Amino acid sequence: MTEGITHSFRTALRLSAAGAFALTIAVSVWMLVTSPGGKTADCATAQQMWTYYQSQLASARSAALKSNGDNDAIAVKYQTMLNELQAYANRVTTPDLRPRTDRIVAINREMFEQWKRWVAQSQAPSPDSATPTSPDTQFGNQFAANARKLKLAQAELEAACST
Amino acid sequence: MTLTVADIDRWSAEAVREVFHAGTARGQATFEASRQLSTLSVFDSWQGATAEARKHTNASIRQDLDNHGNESLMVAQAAGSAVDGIEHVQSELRTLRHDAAALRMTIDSSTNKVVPDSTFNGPPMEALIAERQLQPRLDAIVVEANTVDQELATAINMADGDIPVPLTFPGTPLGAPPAGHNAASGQWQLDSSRGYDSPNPPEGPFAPWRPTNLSEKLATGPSTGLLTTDKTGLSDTADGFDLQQGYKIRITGGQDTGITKMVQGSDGKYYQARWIENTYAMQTTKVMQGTGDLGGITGYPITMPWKPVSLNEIANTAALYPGKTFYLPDGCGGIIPIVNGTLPTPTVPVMTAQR
Repeated sequence: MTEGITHSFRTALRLSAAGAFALTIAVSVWMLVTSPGGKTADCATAQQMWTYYQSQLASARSAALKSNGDNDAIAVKYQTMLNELQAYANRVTTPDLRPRTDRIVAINREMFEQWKRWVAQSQAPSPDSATPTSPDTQFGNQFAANARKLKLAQAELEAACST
Repeated sequence: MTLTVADIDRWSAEAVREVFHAGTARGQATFEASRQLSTLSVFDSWQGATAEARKHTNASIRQDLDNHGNESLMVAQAAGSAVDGIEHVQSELRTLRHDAAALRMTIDSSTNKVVPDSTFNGPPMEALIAERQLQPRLDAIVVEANTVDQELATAINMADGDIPVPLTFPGTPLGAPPAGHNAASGQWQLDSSRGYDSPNPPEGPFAPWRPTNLSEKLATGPSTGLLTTDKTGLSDTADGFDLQQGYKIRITGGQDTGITKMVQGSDGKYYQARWIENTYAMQTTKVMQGTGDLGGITGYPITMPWKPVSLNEIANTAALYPGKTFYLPDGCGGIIPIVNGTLPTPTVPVMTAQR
């Protein structure tokens, strides 16, 4: 009987020790990812991500004017930029920042799909390709809607980083 | 056969200069003889078949004299150019020899190689470094010498009649475009494949005009850059975007207008020149730019396919962007600006020979 009680006591002790250890690990990990240092680093990554995004847009504009204007080559650059944005987003681990960086990537992916549709519709022969066409107006509206979402996501990210 | 440094050393600029003076004097004398023949009045009072035959012979002799004068002047011109080339090559060679001596190197005149001189007693690596430094300069001098030699040989072969004297057209460029045409968008093109004895236009049928095969670089003008206009309804829209567009223009060929004129060549014959209007295509690049609170967000550009356009269509598009410049390529590496849909004042066109 005494031996049975001792065994139960030992088991309870082991379980409570294991639970305490697991809790310690979990708390440590949580503290690590939410520590001021981790968030600061993630905010810096988010800032780099936005700077990179804007530099790629400027680069794509000037390259399109200088080159022979190959839409396939532009699409490759667009895809490369998306991959790079995703890589930046993957480096962000702070729980309240990561969804926002992922959202910025997702909006850009949607804009890429719209851009591809704009290209496809615009290449069809038209009486006058020098002036705006119906696909231009349609894409312009979609572009503005997504630009607005992008601006909002970026503002939320900045706000999260400033608190 | 490649020249050796020994050959270059033997060249005499003075001797070639004498050829230049002799050729010039002979050419001028021949032209003078031709001019005097044209002013001979001894046959003026003659009538009948003999007089006609004599006048015709006179014209033939004058033509022969003119041809001979042209050949003499061409040899003289080539000799004059060769004198400059010889003096330059020999001067470069003197400088190279001086620099080589400073490094205790010398030039082997028979093999065109830079080698250590007899006083060199340094390590082989030092000779190798000096050779690497000097040999490319010697190679360049030999290449230039061969070019000079070839040019002079060509001129002498022309004088001998071994190769034809190139046809030239005194008085080119040819003059203003025909009425109603713009020098910026077309040119006189000469058909040098057939000469005529008379300045009267030949009867048809004419050989069809072949489009000019311009390189992509010469045919295409630069981009206007991304422009925005409030004349298309997509500038700074209420939805917060601005459609910006850039334009490039390229020459795609030419169109025979059927307008011709006769031009006299250096061989005395008449050749037909035709007025060719350029044909063009335009390419548009489009970019969406956020405006207002969306400023700073730009879309990726798209490029439209090249589309054939008339000069009027180009002008109309340019007029949508007041004060902005569109660039029309001239096919020779230059550009003609179009501002507010207006071409500049016509310039004198350059005549091109049919290829």
